Amino acid sequence: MNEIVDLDDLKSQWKEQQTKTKYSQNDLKSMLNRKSVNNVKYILLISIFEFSLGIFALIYLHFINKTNQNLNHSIPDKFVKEIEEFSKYYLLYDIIYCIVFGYFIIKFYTYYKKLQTDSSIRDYILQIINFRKWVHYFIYFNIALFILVLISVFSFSVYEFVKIYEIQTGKQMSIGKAIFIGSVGTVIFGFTLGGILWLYYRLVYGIFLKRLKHNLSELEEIEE
Amino acid sequence: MKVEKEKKFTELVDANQGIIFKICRLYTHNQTDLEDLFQEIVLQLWKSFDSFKGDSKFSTWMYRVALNTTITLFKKNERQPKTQEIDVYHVKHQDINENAEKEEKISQLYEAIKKLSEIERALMMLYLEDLPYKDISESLGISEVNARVKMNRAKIKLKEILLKNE
Repeated sequence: MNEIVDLDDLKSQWKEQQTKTKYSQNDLKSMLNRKSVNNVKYILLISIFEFSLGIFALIYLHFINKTNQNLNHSIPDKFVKEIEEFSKYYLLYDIIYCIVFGYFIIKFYTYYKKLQTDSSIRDYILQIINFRKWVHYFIYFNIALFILVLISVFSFSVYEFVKIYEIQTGKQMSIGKAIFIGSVGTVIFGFTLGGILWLYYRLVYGIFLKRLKHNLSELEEIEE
Repeated sequence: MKVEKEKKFTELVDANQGIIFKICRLYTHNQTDLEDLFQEIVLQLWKSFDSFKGDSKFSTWMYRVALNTTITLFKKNERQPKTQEIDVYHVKHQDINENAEKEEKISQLYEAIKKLSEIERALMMLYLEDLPYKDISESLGISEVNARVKMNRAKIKLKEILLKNE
């Protein structure tokens, strides 16, 4: 490359190049039976795994709730009823969560199936953008739900905590103190779980989204 | 029927596997990634094979699937150095025959192209493969004029990289 760079010359060198490895037709045939490991499939599989965990948790928690009823001798009947009432709402939340989660999986799968690898690069990236849009919705949905659960758990805990305190000590607790204790607990609980959730999405989906974002900026650059 | 389809497919890929290797070499930094990408491209070609109607040349259709798989689908190993040429292609300096010299030039060219963006690499690959601008623009999904403008910029960038590397 000491001479002035001539791209036409490079073109002829490029065409003359020999590829050092060559697969036989049998090797190529055996490749057809291997599993594809690509970004979109990876997201789809992870979401299906999360969905299975959700279903498992739903069945397991429901079962645990039932067995716990036998262990609640020490808690006054009034509270057991209230906890049962809250559990019903929690079950409802779980069912809604699974339905919405299932809807997301169907969307992911539909977009996965719609991807046409023989489209132009631009169209293909646009198809991926649609897929990415649903990944984003999915993450927003999970975070919104997390906040909702956190608020409901906080309210219920404060309410129950004040009552139990009053029964056990015979004294009345000020609302301000109850809210303070409840807030500290919720903030610690929220930050810990929220941090884990954020880290999880960052690790699992972040890597994939980062690559897509890069490709999108490449596309925008070409359309400038 | 399936056997016939597989046979036809493997024959076509076999005849054009040089294209896949060139793309893999341009977008990967080690032999393992190269082989993984090669397999992923073959799989995606196979999955889309039914949509190949023979309206265009198999190689033209292949460029699209291979580049889409490489640029968007492939889970590349981000921890690898970004511009290092694959060792297997490096030619020892003691080896002074003509082929070795040619291979060294090609190796330098690959190294320079790898410094371009992913889309520019695709453009440059299609240019070096001598595809007409019509096919290049269709493969990228942009207008022919846009493809020419973008190509000129990529050529200038590549020349600068090659001159710097001297």
